[in-house]
Amino acid sequence: MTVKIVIGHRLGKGQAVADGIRAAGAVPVLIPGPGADMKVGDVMAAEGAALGISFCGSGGAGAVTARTRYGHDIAFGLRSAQAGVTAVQEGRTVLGFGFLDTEELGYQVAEALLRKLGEPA
Amino acid sequence: MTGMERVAALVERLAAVVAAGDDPVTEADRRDLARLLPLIAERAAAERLAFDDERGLALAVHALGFVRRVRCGHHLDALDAALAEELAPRLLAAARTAIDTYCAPLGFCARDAEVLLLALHLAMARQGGPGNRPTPRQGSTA
Repeated sequence: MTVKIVIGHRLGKGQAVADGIRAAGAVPVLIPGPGADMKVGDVMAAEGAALGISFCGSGGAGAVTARTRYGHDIAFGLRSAQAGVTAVQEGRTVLGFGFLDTEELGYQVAEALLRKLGEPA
Repeated sequence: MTGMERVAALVERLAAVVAAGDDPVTEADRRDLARLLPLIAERAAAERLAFDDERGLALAVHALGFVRRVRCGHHLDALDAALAEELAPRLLAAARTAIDTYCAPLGFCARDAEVLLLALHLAMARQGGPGNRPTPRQGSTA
């Protein structure tokens, strides 16, 4: 089964996170352009994604928007890959980070999600 | 509804949304947001910008992070300066004015990264509004 993870970055970045997600065995969907964090919920719905990751300065705007539009269970203000892993284990479906575009984050979060879904990483 | 009532209602909506999380809105947050949000609203009004409910809540979440950073003296890393060139200078000036007015009594000197991020919210308010949601399927498999 294909497990998609949507990435929306306030400044239109997120490529390193996407690389980490792919390395873990999931499929990244990177939203292009500035303000992409605000579109995470919309693209998750369109793509049937299991998880959304939103990046902005405070780590919350995109996640809260996804919650208000689609009712996602969110965690925001996250500042480390481990915080993201914990949020996935708790069943959160949209994670809001500060600017942390690293491959490690993508890999660890995707690996945790695949494990939770019972998919081989 | 007065401006103060609108700010109070927005803070209550914010508190409700984040209540289930690990870091709910505190009394210190409420006090600080009650000072910051009217300053932003004032500058937004001067620029004829309007926040709909959704954008307003996104701004409030951002403001929550900002007031917390100011309280603990935390600075964001510098952002790509090229992004600032894509924003209208008057939005950057409006953001700088609101931030400096908020920070001055606290002795905190906010860096350009904070100004840029707030200006991005102002820019989205300008473009946003009911019926202007982004079209689905904008993502590309990276």
